[in-house]
Amino acid sequence: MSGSSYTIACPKCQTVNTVRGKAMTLALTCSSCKTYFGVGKWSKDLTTFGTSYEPVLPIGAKGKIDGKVYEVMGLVVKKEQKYKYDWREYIIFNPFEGYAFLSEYNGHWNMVWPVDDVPPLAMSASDFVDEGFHFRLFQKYKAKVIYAVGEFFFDVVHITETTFNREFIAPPLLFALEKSDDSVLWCKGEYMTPSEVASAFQIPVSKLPSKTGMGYTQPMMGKIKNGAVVSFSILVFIFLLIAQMFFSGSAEEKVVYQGNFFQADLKDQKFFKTSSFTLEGGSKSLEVVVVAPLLNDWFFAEFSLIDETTGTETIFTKDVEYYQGYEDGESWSEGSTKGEAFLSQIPAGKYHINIYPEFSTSSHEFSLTVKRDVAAWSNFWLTLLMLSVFPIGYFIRRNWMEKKRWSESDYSPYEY
Amino acid sequence: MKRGDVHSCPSCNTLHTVTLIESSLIVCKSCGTYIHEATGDENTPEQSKMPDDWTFLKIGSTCELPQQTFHLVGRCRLQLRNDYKNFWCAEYGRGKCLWIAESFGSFSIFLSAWEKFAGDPAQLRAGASVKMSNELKLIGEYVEKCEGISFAGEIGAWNFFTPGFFVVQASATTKTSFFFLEPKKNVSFLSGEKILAERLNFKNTIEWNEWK
Repeated sequence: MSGSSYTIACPKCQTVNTVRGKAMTLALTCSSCKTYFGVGKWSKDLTTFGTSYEPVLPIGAKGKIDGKVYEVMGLVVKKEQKYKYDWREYIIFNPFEGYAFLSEYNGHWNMVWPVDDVPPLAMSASDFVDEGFHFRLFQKYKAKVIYAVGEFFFDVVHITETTFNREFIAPPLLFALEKSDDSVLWCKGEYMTPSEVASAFQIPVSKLPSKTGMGYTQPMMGKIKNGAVVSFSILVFIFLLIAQMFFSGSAEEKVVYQGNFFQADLKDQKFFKTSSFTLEGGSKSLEVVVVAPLLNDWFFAEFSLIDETTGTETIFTKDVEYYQGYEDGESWSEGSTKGEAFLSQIPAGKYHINIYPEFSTSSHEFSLTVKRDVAAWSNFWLTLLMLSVFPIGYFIRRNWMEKKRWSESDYSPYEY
Repeated sequence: MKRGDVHSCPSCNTLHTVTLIESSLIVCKSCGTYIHEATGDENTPEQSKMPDDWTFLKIGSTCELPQQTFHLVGRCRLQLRNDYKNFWCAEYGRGKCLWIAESFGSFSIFLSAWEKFAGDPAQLRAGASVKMSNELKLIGEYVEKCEGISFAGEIGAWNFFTPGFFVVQASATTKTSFFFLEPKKNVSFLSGEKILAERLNFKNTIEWNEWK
């Protein structure tokens, strides 16, 4: 830290250490013998650690986070006392902002800073809402410092051993409570990607620990929020519905042909020919409705719509089936006696239809109705289905990842 | 010591003119000697060099608010076991005094004078509820032993407790109070509000350009 000429002699080896945090530093490790000691005359304990860790963010390195320059003051490695996993906390400092922590576990980072404003319910409830975010209790733990290097603004070893911790998450945010007999400290935190950390301290991202598994505050699918996905989906649905209602309301649905056909009239011919009908008003849709009085039977026909002026043929088929019965005390039915074929963009002109029917043993007649300018709901449903893929996929993935995230918590709302 | 009084430093004879309506201590700007008129019912502060820290405020800094400007005229620094608190004495309105508490970029402002705590001192614990009035209950944030006090500049009305007393801060939303407890003696407290540094609009501060 520039400008510091504050020095303290190590009580163990007498090495004179320059203290970058000046009088704010209340504990440090000796640059020579690595002993951890407090600087106050009240603190006589000396701590040595049986392990060692090389900080990936060097002590003294400066980094810019949210436009503010922080200096890395120290690093502690903490071990959770029940499940015995460990993580690293870098204490960082800016004279105008105070101190904060960069916490790293399995390659996932959180920036954590002390806060004054805490939701009132946070002290007692297992979940609470703050600024629209629903925070849930993720873990309770006690920890121990297994390694420390650098400078600290409090006796991090003693405080860690005497505090009980609770953490609440609403990814990418968290609230952390450190509570002891002497203090209640609330911190707020936010997930940082390794790239953001590397960029802040201008070090290669490859120098940082590789990510393993899912971070407990890691946001899903970037910065997309559930509310935004729901709102977007609702807006798209409303827009589509309004558009469909508009086109439906303006559709004419004019019956241009209606006729009944009997197998007996076919005699030795292979097809029926409808009388001519006229389609008006440019290129518009056409709906052909076939109704056959069927019971446990089927009817099939091939239709050829013929433009009498140009001779152009539009061929389509329609299959109608209807079955019903009574089984195991319940009646059932399947299919319908009615079928529709929808043709889009049929130009105006004089037309007739040739019908090539296939009657079954018991079906002997059918009726045909031709409507001009019919609103197509199929396009609406198809578009809606396509646009639903993203939100449905998002929520399926979100649920899967949430379950995975909470699998590491004793307070998971999910069952496994 | 009253506003306008001129006091001579007993060590180096430097003259100091009191700027506050009521001042309890002046630290000689030349030699650091404490100029103090004991009232008989309080401790005499022991002289202690002001430690060097990273505060960006200094005597002479101002808070420029829309309707009032405060001038920092004195500083009382409490060295706690796991923290520090700078209480900045600010002069406004021709000699009136208020306190601005500062620690690690966190600020509180205290317009009221020191008061005696009428409640049970056993309430003053971390996480415990402290009843200030029927309408206001604070929650204890921490209990810290004060290991040292240093003064600089001109100090308004202050409780000169001997180091070794306990400091308790209790808050609820923006309301906050500092309690000073001397074992087996009275408990005094200051009540005020937490406030963002941006709102205090400090000017003439120490420029740590490498941090911006």
